[in-house]
Amino acid sequence: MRADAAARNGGPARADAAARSGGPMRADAAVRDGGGPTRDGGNARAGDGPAMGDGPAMLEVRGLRQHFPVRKDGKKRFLKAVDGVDLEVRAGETFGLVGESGCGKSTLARSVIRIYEPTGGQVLVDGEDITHKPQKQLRPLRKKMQMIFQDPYSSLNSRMSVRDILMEPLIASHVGESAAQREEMAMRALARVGLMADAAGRYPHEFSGGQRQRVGIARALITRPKLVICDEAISALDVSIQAQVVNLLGEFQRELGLAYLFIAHDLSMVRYVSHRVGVMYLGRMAEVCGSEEIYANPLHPYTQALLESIPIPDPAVAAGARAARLEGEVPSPIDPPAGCHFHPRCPKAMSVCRQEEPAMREMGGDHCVRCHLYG
Amino acid sequence: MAGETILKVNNLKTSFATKAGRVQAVRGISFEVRKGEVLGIVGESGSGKSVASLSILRVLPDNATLSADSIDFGGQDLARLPKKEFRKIRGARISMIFQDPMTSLNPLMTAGRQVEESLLEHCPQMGRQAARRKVLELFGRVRMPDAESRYRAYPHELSGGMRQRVMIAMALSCDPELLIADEPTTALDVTIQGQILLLLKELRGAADLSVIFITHDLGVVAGICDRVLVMYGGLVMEEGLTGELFSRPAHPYTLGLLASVPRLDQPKDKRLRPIAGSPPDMLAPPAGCPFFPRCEWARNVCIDGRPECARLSPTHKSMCWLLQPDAPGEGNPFRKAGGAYAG
Repeated sequence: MRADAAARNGGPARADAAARSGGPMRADAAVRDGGGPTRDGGNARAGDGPAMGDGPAMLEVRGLRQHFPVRKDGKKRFLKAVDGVDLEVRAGETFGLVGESGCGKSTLARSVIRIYEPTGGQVLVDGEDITHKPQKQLRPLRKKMQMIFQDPYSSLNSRMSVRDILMEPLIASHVGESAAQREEMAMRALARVGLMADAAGRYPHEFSGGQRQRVGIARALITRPKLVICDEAISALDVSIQAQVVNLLGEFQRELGLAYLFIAHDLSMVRYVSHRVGVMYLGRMAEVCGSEEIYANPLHPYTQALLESIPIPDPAVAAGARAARLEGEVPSPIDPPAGCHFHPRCPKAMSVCRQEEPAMREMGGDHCVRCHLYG
Repeated sequence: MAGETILKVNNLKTSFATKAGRVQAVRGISFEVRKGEVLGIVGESGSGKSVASLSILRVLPDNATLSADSIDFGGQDLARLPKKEFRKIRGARISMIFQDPMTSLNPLMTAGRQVEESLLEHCPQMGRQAARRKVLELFGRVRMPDAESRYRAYPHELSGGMRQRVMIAMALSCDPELLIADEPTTALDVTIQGQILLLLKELRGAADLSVIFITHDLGVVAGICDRVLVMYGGLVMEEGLTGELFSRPAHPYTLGLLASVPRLDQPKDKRLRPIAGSPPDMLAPPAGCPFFPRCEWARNVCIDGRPECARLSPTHKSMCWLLQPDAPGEGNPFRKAGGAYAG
């Protein structure tokens, strides 16, 4: 099975691609990938895009709740995957969402684009309330909001050629007047993500992981969306390929003024790509602020602990730091701890934390934190 | 750290027969592991790092062909050891932990029972009672909270971090000399990864255990490894002490890897420089340096022949033509102005 997969990846397409990148096109490829030192192959860093907060809000989430009914010990209970989250992403802005597995970040993404039906709160896309719109009326809006998934291998239809994969969203949202025109758009999208024209006739298994994710990006962007949700879009890629994809996403953002909701567990990468960052814990937002601020001045003990857990690729730094580590694990969202959800793991927990849920507090400079320490 | 050598791998090659041809996953690598050290093997998918470690334990699918001049482990050649003899080593003197404990644990057996089984497999004279006590002691060693109830839990009832602790307990059950850890923290959250790395460090210190730690994460390497091999295209590109590798990277691929990851402790406007292109096709790997199609300093010599090994220090080696004495000085990233960096 494994060898089979290896054979597939190493199939003729790959050999071809390798030969290509080694051949006369190589310089070209390097430029496209932003690998050349002379080229502004930048990324979605703060300051590169439009100034933060001046674009219109592309996504507004207000008090979003996503509760799933579950049975536990024969009783009906609710798993509160998302429990009252507010956030806003403006045009041209990248909002990074981080947290441990089980914190609700992926559920939030799915509720926002109505893969799940939210059980409370409001979702506004480009000013339009979509929380309870019937799926049929939602269809024309779908082209405005697209999603890039973690694993392009399972999110691309393996029986469709890349051409068909790219044309499908166009057909679904009635873009383009003829098949020929749609095909032309597909070919342009392909070139735009740095793939050769002959990729159009190939199938997903013929590509490497990074190339497949480029197809995923082309598919998401072909309908010219305004909001793109990247759910761990680079987590499955090798580091050298991650940087290529991040740079590509950044280029598109500057060009098209896209709003990204960037969900990831890699905090170094999130800081790098985001303008603002939100930290989630057990269905709630613990802290939200500018991406430099969150690393320079983390206020919530959970944010501080997360940051301290990140391994730094430098033995000199790695040996010194790392004293304070987070004990324990994320509790079950079916029976979250009373008061502040984080108190059982919090090194600074006080008696009030066990009883009262802290409110989100504005600390100035767009920095909000949900913690009794700042009450 | 400079203890005796417990494992010496000499010219290991592993390939897989597939419909499309022979995938040459590992193409001749040599290295050694010393007592009590953590040796990191870093590389991207397809670099051959996992196959190399599976080859040492000879846990390969039927379509694999393994050849090696020798794999010397305590005087025995693992490459030629009869299957029956190998059983006494695998799981006992050399054990392994994997990325995803869920797929390596039996879902129908409680966590404690599984560790007990592996104990009894290697020490059948130990009774059930004694084995159970030993398992609880092992659970204590891997800092399993609430060990008694975890003993009775099924794998699906445990979190990812706890499952990995069960795997580590199982791997330690026969007091191995060498532990091979294949991306043991990749599937875990950073906070849990931190806990597991700390545990491995403690165990290494307490039990004089040697570890081969396979990962793609340079941050993890910096935190836990004493020495590092950087693999690419089935070959070792660079080898050195962790400090040497990070402070004086001496291969364009290592440079590329380091420039591809953002660092929390660096200003954000330091730009990421991805490595262009994609890894080589291992059905027909390049004859010369496997990295040349992606290397910005590639020359004709890189296409034709594999680079010779350049020694930068007794512990630091690099396989790059740029480090040879006749390499051009102009635009050479490894030559400091005036003097030669290499040699």
